Amino acid sequence: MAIEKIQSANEVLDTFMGEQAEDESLDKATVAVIAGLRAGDKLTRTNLLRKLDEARKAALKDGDMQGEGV
Amino acid sequence: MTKLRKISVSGFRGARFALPIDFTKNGRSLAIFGENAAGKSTITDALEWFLTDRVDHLWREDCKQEALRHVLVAEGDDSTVAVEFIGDSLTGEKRLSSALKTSTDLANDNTRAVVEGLKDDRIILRHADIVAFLDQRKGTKRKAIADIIGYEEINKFRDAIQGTLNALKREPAYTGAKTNAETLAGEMVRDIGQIVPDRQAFLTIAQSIAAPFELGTAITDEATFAESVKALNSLGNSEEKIKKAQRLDQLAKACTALAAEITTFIPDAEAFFTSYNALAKERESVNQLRLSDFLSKGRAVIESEDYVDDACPFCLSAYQLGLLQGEVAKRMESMSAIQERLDTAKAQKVAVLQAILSIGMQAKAIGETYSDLTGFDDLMSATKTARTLLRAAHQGITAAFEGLTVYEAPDGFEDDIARLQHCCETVAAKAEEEAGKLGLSEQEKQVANALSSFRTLEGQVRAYERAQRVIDSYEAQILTLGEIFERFVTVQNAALQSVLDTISADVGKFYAKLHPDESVDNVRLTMVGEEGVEFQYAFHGHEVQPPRKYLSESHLNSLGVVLFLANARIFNNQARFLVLDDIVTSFDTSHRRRLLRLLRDEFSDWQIIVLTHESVWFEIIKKEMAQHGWNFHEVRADGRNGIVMDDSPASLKEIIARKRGKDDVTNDLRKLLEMVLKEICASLEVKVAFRFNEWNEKRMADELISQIRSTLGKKSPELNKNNVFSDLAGSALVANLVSHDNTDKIVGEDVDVLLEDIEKLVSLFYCPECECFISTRVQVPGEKAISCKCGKNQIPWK
Repeated sequence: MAIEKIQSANEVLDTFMGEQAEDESLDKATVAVIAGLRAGDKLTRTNLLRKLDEARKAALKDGDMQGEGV
Repeated sequence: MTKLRKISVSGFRGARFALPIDFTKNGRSLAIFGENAAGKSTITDALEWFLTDRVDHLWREDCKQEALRHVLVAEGDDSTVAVEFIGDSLTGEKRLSSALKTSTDLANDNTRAVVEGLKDDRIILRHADIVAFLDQRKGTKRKAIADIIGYEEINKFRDAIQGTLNALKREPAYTGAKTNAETLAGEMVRDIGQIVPDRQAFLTIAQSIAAPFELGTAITDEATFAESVKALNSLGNSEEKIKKAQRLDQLAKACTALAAEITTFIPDAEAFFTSYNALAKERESVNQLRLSDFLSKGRAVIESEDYVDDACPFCLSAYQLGLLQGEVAKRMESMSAIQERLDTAKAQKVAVLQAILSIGMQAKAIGETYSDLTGFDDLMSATKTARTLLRAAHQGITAAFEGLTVYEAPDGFEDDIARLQHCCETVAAKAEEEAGKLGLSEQEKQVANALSSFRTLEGQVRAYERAQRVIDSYEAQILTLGEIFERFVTVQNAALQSVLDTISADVGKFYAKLHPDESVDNVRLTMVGEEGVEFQYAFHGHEVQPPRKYLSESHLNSLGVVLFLANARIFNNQARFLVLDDIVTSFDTSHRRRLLRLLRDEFSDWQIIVLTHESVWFEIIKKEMAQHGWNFHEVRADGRNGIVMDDSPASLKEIIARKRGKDDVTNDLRKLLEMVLKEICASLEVKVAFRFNEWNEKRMADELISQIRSTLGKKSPELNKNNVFSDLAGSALVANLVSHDNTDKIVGEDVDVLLEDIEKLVSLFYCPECECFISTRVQVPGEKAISCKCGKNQIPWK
């Protein structure tokens, strides 16, 4: 029946995120952060910004630039 | 998938007493007829309330729980809706108390799961809702289609990615790093004529600076660089003097740069403090900005040609429209000015915070790098004090802006920053002077300059690399989010198009079944622009949208009906039943028949409940669908009794039990007795005198008793001797009941006596096991007797 052709929202998102995870041209850490938040049902703008900030700090290692010199 | 087994409604909407509907254990389809205002929709409302806790058409009009209770339900009695689904103990009851408190009792977890699953399914279609979707805007249609299959999850995902992407692009750390990198690049171009992006490029430049000194070592890596610096220092008479001269030169440059930045910072900071604090003092006005969306939408309403009332459309207070328009325009103008000031203050804040960071970093670098030089104690002290104040100012500005409170600079802030600036200017001059006093030879000066250039460039390159790393870390995320967003929009649209295609396949097919050989075909839903969905169809071969362009009201209704049916068939996860409440009003007979055939062919395994006030349509349904296992009922409004379903002894007995002692039950007793007698007459094929049409129904108890006794006298003489016949025939009660217009009331124990007699009569002919009357159609084999369906109850029959 026709219904079998229709993916649920979760299926659409799962498939999409699976494809992004395999794309070498994308930033792996960013894709992982999105996937992690989605898995925990916590994908919001605020949470994503916070996690991306953590990811940047981890990448830079030598700390946050903002406020450091003051 | 779930079907209905039973529904019973009591004290709810039009049903004062129990209104039971039995769909049988097979969950049969059912058509219910009732005149206008008979209260058929009570059944639809009851089901909707049971499943969703609301009745949408009532809630929209702000008629809520109080509108659900029948007006004659006694204080203290609950309104109830009990539902049984096909399956193992899938029952539940919802109650509404006289205090309008709702309580729900579901039999078990399975029932809870079923009810939960039904909540999102498409079950009920009312006439008023048929064209609701058709009349929605394209964007709303898209959202409605997306909501059908839970695509709000997809919208949430898209919004989170898009919102984060936009926020990242605006983050001060990112924009600050870009500005810093640009500044450093400018400084490098100014100093050495090119941008030096990394350490390796620096080493190449260092080699070009060192080359004139012919050191004998080419700078290619860190080791050769260190070797060359050492060699340069040893070129003069005093390595120490060269080093000191080079450091004094560096200090002079650093102090000059810092003093210049403070010179720009002081007036910028003052301008920000003034404009921001003025805004903070008008906090209420700034807070009003949250109403700007509301006001701009309201303004569009009151300035549209359609709106002509002299009243506020929101609170409905009387207000001359022209004045209202002027007032709203004035408020929006005032808000626009405040918004502009707020935007300016925001931009100023970003610049001031960046300057504070930059000044703090430079002060820190000077304090840490040159603390060993003697004679600059004032500068060291000034950098330390300034850093503390700058840190406090940074925190204070951020906190004040978040809370929209007045900002007060830390005590002594302006004086100490000015002192730092003054110290920088003084030290720059003093450092140059002291360097001059060292008495370096020309070569030593060149060496000192070369070493100073190394030092300056090293610092610039280090800061540039660091800023670039920050930029890269942001841009990796920004590019990825941008790419994901762009790809997702494509995926989202494709997913939605797939849904539309699926719905369209059924919509087109169903519509063609309702309207074959007409000028409209290929009906489907299609995406319009980036954010819209619309019906499209071919009209005389030309592609057309929207539906109202050429379709008649009847065709629009058809479209609404087929869309509902298609969505239900495709997307319902739990419900295998549909309620179609008065949906064919504008259909002509042929299209009604086609709708029945559509239901028969495409929904043969569904339970369909059709409610109608049109007797002709009801008769069509009976003729067409009886052979397909449908059941049929009629409801009517019975005065103070509310809605009653057909006339069943069970419901009449309950009505009598509930009313006695409070209301007159004489008429109910009469109806009960007549009903029982009619059932017996029909089952025993008792002959009565011919009468036309409805007069056939209006037979009185004495006539029916007499004819039953006459039949029994011939067919079952022994049974005819039963006292119940003589009791009933000779009863004064029956004499009271013989006239439909009788005004004498039956009260007290007389009610009990008559009910007992009726029970005795029923027990002679009715089998409680198979719930059937003994019938002449069921002959007992080999005996002169007839029985009920199951054969447990028999009577002799000649």
